[in-house]
Amino acid sequence: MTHLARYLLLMLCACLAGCGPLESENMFRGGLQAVMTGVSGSPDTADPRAGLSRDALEQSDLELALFAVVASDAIATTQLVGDNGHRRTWAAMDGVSVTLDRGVIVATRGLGDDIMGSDVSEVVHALRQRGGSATRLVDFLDGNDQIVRRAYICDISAGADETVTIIGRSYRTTVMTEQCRSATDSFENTYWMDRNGGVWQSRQWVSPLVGFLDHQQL
Amino acid sequence: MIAWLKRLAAFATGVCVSAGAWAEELPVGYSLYGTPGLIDMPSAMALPDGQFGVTLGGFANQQRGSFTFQISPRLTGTFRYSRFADFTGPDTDDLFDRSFDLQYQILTEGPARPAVAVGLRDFLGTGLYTGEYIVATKSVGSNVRVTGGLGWGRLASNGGFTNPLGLIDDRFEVRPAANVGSGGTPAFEQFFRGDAAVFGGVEWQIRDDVTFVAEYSSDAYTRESGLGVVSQDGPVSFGVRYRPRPTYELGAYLLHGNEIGFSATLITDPGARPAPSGFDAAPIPVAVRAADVRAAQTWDQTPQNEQILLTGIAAALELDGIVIHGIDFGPRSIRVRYSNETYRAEAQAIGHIARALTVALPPAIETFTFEPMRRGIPVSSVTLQRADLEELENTSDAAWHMLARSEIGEAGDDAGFVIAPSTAASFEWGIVPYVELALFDGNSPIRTDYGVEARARYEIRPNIVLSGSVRYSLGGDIAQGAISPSTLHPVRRNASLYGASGGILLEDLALHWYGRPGENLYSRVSAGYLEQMFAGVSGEILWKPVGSRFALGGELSYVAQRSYDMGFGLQNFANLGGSYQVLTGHVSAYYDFANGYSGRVDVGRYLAGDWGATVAINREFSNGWRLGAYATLTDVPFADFGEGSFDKGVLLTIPLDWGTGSPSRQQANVNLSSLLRDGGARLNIDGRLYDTIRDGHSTRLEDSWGRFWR
Repeated sequence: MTHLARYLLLMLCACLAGCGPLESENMFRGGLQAVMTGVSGSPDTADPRAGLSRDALEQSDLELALFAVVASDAIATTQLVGDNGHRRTWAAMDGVSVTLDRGVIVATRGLGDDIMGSDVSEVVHALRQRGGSATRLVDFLDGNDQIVRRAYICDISAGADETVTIIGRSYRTTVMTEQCRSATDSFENTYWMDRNGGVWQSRQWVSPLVGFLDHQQL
Repeated sequence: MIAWLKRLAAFATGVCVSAGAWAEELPVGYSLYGTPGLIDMPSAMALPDGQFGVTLGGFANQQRGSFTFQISPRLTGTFRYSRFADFTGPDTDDLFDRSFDLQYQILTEGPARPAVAVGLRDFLGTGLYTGEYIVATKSVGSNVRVTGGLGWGRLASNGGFTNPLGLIDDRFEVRPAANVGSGGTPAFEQFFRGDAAVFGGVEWQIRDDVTFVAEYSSDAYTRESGLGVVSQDGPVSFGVRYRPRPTYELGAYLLHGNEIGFSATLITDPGARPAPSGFDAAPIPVAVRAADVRAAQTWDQTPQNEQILLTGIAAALELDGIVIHGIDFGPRSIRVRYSNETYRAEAQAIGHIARALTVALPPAIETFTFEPMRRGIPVSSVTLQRADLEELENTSDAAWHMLARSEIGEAGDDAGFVIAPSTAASFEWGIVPYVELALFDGNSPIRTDYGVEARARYEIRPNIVLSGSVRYSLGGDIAQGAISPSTLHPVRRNASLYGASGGILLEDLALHWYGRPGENLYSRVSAGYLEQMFAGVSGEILWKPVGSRFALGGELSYVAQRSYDMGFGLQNFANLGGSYQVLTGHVSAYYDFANGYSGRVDVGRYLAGDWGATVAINREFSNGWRLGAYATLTDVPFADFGEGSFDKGVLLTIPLDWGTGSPSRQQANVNLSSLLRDGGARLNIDGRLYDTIRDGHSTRLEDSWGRFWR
């Protein structure tokens, strides 16, 4: 066999991961992407807010939110895909989802070091009381498939009033801060909350690997 | 967002995961022998449980590639492959040699008492490094560690004195000459005998990431000095170790006053996955039923509606890498049979299907039963309540509550299923490049064979599959591997002759039939070209209750040795006057200790017609990492077996999703040490029953249940 023939044979398999139905392994398949429709723009691109207007948002029957990883410029428009009591799940096209309980992150999926579930009822209560202390229970998934449950002691306090403008609409909010610590981590979350307890904008800590997420309600 | 996070994970590997514990205390360093220790000398330290280090260390005359694993909190094991340059004198050939070490920490360190360990170095090999020791190590303050020990054998070649164990028995004072024979057996008669000598040293952490090490060695390199290939100015060596991350360590040393040595170690903690939860795409969220429809007692259960539901559910889950085989609909419950082709943890697949079902199914259906299938047969059943999914999603402690409210049992019968069209007879094919490695033979550390492999699979029924593969080799030197002769029929020794003629090689082509012949029973029948070297018929049966840690199996095969050209024929052996045929089979007992260890014993007749038993012990992690060791003793005398005396080896299994962060059921298997020989050889059959079904059984399901909501 000539070298050329060998080369051609190798080219035949140029798809180094293999060809044919037996070898097709889709890197990012997930059921959620299949049910998501109507979100424009692909993730990991420029600021998706550039393509959004208040008129378009008013006319859309979708509920949207923006999430961004603070440690990077990754930003994504997300759509409401789950509504389970207070816990509402927002998902981006690339398979990442974030679940908020009355504005407070209780779960994430697809971020590599996810929050699997949380009890933030005391945090929500203290936020609505404009201050107080709370215990926050957070479940992480460790590298050996085990749930690691951490308890954080948090102090919630009210700061200045600020007007937040999101795509052409302004909200009068109070800047609430939540300082939390456990034996292993400590972090400070910030919420821009209106008089009715609605969180329009926030910066919240997820996990050691992910760090903080920024969030805006569209 | 995902792409960026993956890059971050790659950079931050381990840093965030274990930075806390690591920065505060002096890490256990790796010696030039790849063991926890000083430079050439060992220390009494144990590595963190489960950690393993791959070390390349040495100096001009000797390089050692070592694989060290912390088998249990106190037991450390090392496999080593060493190159001795100028083995018989200046300008002579190199020698490559394997060796095994074991170290057991008999006392852990306390506030006042030092850690104490006893160890055997090179206790199975040809004996070039053979030595035993007892060693104590004590931390002084937070950044200094002092080690002192007593060595025998090679570790008493400098400053040896009369063995203090002679007080117990005079026989300890003389070390008998090594009786290496065929190698590979423990030199019990030598252990802790002959002169003893002291060694010691100090490790001093001068910065968070830099440790200074000094040692007084009891190894004089007597053989090497005698040949004039190593000369020592004195017994003292020193150097520094640099560990900027928990994942690797570099060392540079001035050895015995006149030689430079280097080491590099890659350190992995299987429990510390770089991206702990993985980047698996988010599941479909639970769709919660409104309060008024929850009370519904019935739904419009017609064959048409069942078909519509099945089609929709199967289509949605296909995108998630899960194949729905069929659904058994009831008025208030359903049973789903599926194959999970994507998620390593079966619990994760169940969690995904369960949530998709909450979206698709009428509100009256309250109970979901899942029957995971492997090779076309259902292996267990998991039953859970829809209301629990609705209640627990994204709450704290949801995984534990879900498990507590689930029932795990044996799969039900086959009646009542509406079968999905995807389970019709199907043909699939694929072409992949392949690389085969042969590691650590007597003359070369690594041999390769690479080329193109084509595979095809015809699924007559989900549990009856005809599959085969052919290869075309494009190059490599695997055929040059040298295996010394034995007196047995060459059932494995001639592996390098197989395919040496080139051309298109038939790897395997066989019909496999899996079944469930009775309660807690699983069966397999395979017929055809079963593997590279043997063709025939093989039958297997396994008894394994879903909740049981114990399993019992039997396998019986009648096979003939295939021809060296790997075509359809059988090899003619002149001395036999025809082909080689053998009846081989084993009775196997399996036990899962459920604390990270599992074991297996096989008793029966091996391929060369020899009778004996194999014992295998595995250290397993929930995330799919596995390190196993096995040994086979048969009625073949060591001298007849040839090099190594009996079959033994170490197998490492690495789950692919651990490092990539993407869901996958694939894993990489690395065979670290077995020499392909004729005694104690078994058929290589893909898809033996125990490993096929156990991921769906209670222990493994529960071990990875943390991924249910992932």
